Amino acid sequence: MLVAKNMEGCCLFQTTIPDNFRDFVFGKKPNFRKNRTVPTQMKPMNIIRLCIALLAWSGCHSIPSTPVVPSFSFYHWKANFSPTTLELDNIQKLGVSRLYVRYFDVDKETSSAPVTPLSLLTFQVLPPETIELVPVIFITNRALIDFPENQIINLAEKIWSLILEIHPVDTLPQEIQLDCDWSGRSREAFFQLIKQMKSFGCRVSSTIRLHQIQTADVPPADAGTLMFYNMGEVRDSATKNSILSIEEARPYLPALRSYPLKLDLALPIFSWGVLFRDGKMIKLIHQLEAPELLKDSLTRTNDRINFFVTRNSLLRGHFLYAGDHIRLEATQNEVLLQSARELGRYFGGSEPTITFYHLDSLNLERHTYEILHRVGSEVYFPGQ
Amino acid sequence: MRFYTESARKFTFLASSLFFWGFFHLAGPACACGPIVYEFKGYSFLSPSLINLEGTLSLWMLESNPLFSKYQRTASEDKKQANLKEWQDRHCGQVTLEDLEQVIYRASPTELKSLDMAVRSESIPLPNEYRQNTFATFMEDEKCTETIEYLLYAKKCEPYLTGNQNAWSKQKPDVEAMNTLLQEGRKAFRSCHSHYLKRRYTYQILRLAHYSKQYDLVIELYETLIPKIDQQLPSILDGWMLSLKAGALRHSGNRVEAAYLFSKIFSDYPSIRTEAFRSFYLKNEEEWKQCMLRCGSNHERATLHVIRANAQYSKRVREMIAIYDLYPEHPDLPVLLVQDLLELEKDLLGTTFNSQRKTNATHFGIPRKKAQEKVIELHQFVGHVLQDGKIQDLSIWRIADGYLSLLAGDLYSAGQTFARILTQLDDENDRKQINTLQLVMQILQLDAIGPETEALAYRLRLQNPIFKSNGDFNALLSDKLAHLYYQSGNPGKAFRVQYDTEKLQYNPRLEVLNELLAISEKATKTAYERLLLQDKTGKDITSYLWYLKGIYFIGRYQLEAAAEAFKKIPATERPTYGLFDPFQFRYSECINCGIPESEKKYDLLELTETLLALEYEAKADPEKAAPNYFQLGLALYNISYFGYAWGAADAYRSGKNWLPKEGSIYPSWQAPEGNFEVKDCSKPLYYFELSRRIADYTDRELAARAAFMAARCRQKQYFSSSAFMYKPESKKIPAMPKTFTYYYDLLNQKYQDTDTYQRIFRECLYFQAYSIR
Repeated sequence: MLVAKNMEGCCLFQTTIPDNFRDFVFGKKPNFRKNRTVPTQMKPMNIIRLCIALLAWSGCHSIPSTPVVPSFSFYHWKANFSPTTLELDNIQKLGVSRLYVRYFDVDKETSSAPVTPLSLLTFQVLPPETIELVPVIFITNRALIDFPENQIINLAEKIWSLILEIHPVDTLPQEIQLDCDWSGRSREAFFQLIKQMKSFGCRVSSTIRLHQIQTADVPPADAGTLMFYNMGEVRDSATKNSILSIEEARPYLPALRSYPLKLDLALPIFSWGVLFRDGKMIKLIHQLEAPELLKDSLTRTNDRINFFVTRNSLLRGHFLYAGDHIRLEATQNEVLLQSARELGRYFGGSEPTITFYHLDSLNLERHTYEILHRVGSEVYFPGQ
Repeated sequence: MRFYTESARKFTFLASSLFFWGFFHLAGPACACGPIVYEFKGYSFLSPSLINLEGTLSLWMLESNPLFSKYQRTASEDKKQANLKEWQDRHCGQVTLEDLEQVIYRASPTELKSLDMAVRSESIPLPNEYRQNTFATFMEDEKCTETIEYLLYAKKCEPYLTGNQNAWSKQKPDVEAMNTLLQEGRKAFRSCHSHYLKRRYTYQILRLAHYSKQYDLVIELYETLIPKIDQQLPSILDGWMLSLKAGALRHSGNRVEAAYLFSKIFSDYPSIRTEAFRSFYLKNEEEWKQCMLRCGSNHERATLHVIRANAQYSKRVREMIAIYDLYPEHPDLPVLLVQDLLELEKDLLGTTFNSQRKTNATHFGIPRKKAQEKVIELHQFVGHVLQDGKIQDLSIWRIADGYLSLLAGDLYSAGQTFARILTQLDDENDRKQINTLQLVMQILQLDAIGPETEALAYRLRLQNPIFKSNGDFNALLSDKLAHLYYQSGNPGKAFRVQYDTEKLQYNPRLEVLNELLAISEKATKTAYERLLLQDKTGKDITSYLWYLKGIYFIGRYQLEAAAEAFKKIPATERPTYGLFDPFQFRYSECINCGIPESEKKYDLLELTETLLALEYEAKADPEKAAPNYFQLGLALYNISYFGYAWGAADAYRSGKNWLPKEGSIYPSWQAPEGNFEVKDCSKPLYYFELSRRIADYTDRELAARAAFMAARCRQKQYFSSSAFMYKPESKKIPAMPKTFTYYYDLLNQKYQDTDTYQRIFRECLYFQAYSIR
């Protein structure tokens, strides 16, 4: 392996010949010949075999095969697990057998503070027995920036141990998912963490941001879930919708074809209000809806997307001032379906699990079971 | 100079040191290596003495400002200190705070039991480590059995009340054990005679109920026990207990009452003010209105607005207007005013010439988008307050009036205001503040460079006490002068007024050097100009400037110009800038494997002249062409960034700058205009190619060496090109594209039969790896 060294060191390149130097220098080309079968002359025995096969095929093809059904799931992203009737109803109707549940966040308050778990989940009720729980751990990028390599095992053990403490059923989780928008300075720690988590004997999946599919950095996870949302610049007051924009996403999609990790798909059904003050984004207010903003003429709007506060007030514990701008962002059903159609071109045939972010009655009122089902069909059976 | 005496010279030296020490010690990113830490750089001229911080609620708002940092303290420290102070007061000051801390916070349960036994017994002495403890001896002397009983009880409660120590475990409170302790506490409360201790038992009991999440019980206990305590003596515990009740109310869903109580705590109990601020929560407008109605006075209502004003991203002026309307004499109004002024100062003071304005904008979003509107809004409010006359002491508002005019750019109006109020202010600190702001204005008003401005700058720095009293004047003046110098086409003076001579080495620019050298050649220089040409130690930098000019040219292969510059350095000084021998051919590369000191032969002028002579001979004598061109190429390669003699063409080289960069100027925290690296290998390549072509017919060994060095040049050109797609964290070197491998191929195809080739193949592993691929 050639090793790059600092110029102030002994020399520019300390050169040792790598074992696979040729591949490393010139790139490895796939050997297309390797799997190609060499035609041989057809022998009588082979003709008989072919006939048997044809007969068998003609006899079987009329038997209907098991139809492919889209596989659905939800993210549960609250501090208390107590699903409402509507939420349970959707879980059942969509045939959800696996639920991705955020158990806790991992973060640190300052750069010198220790990494700690935050917002631990409480199971107020037990999930239906038929549902497999997949613990999801959200890890902030800053928690892993410059994280000492020799502390990774320790961190993995702590995470695993806390997962088991929170996990409400006796059986061990079959899969856990790590969610981190890693950067150059945290990537190595995150990848090491994934490797360590695998050592506990369960499947480890990782969330993948859209921008990450274009890089060569593929997390060493067993699978990934492509987060198909948060694609616009939320801090820019001129952005129309930062949650889902197929135009923003389109340039990234071709990279999906060559992405080496098996990918599932996460789609947004949430809404939020983005609060701007003096042109600066200062807060996200989750699950905000237009009627709440228009109540008692708190705001005025021309397009039901951009709302302008008319008087000093309070909303969900946030102080508002006259002149504040709130951009209401939600995923429109039509945009969701359009995105699904587009994604079908890349995911059709691979039968990904479609996980909606996130399980909440308000979201499910806006995106009914029928819509969510159609989204699945568009992804699974593109063009039908 | 007739009057230029020895003492005058000494004075000038000292003055110059002070003058430029001031200019050059500007705040900069404080780190030696590693990632660059950006800091906001601006100027602040408001004095903390303007406001009485101790009496206000919003004290912590100002903690982040260095001027006010002396008031910094943490909430937990406040709480602990307040508690110890109360214990001390309770004992009429006969015990020390240190001794109280030892018993109350540091003693183990076993130690407390030993103390208990000693207090109760006539014969058992105090444990050794407590014999000198004033609190322990006081308890022993006065037989304070109730006190030690309480301390033992508090120690038993402690493990249940300190929160989850292990964040990585979801521990549930041991409600059963806590309830047992709670009952024990209630029993002790009943039997205890001291109301001081009854209050403390109540506090522990309430905490037990709170931490075991029995919020209704907290409220019930509060209502039951508090009336049984003598309220004659106020205690800090009153606020702490009230906050437990408020917290319980919030958990029980009574947000309005909870918020009201937190606002009371915020107002009345400094030791838990921060906690109360964080716990204050109202969900919507309706709850806000109810909370306002719940308040018993305008002062209480104004306090709700103080809390709002302290929230992140609040519109402070709007809250100030509300506070003023409700309670004009609220002590927090001046603090909020100063807080706003400090932010506007960052936004507007010197933003057009601040040398770090780009960094401020990129990394801190300063100036804020609507700073101009904000200054107008605040100025209108200040004007309203001054006209209204509802506030008795208007001095801070008057000063703000003038300063806001200044920040808005209306210097005339600011000057008028300052002159007027200077006659109205009695307080010496206020007058000093006005003088400070007048000096700020004087610097801002400088609009052209000339002898008068330079003389003023000289006088201010050396003689003005106000200037000396605030370090930001240095930064303001140097940035302003630099801006004017740049405008008037004086980059040399602009550079020097901002930076020390040492900063010139990273990326010496010709126009800067030329201007400074032109000053040095003037027959008569002003004192200010003499100072420009001195370093921090007072040493003349003329030779250094010629040295920088010489290496500027040599780094760009302009040898004649370099020689002319080096000639200006006195012969005796030339060796101090280094001795070099870049003519050594090496098979392997090593930047810092220089030749022994004793072998270095050439000073910079000798080296340049040798190079020129080699070129002349190569052209004049065909027999010498091939070896001379090779030597030329070799020397130029070795003085480049990639060679061991780099010091002959560059005053400062950083090993981390080996990745490609357009223009070869690399950012560096210590180099204000970046760090230039000599990376252009085209000239040495040209000479190697000339040498190789000629030597092909005369000396094939030399031709092979020239081809090898040409290959090395192409390799470095590749490393310096945009085609080099190396990832900084990767250990893999990307394969060199075909366009850069011509000389490697040539070596393999044409020179395999030479000894040189065999040696190269053996010693250069990169080439070896390439060849056997």
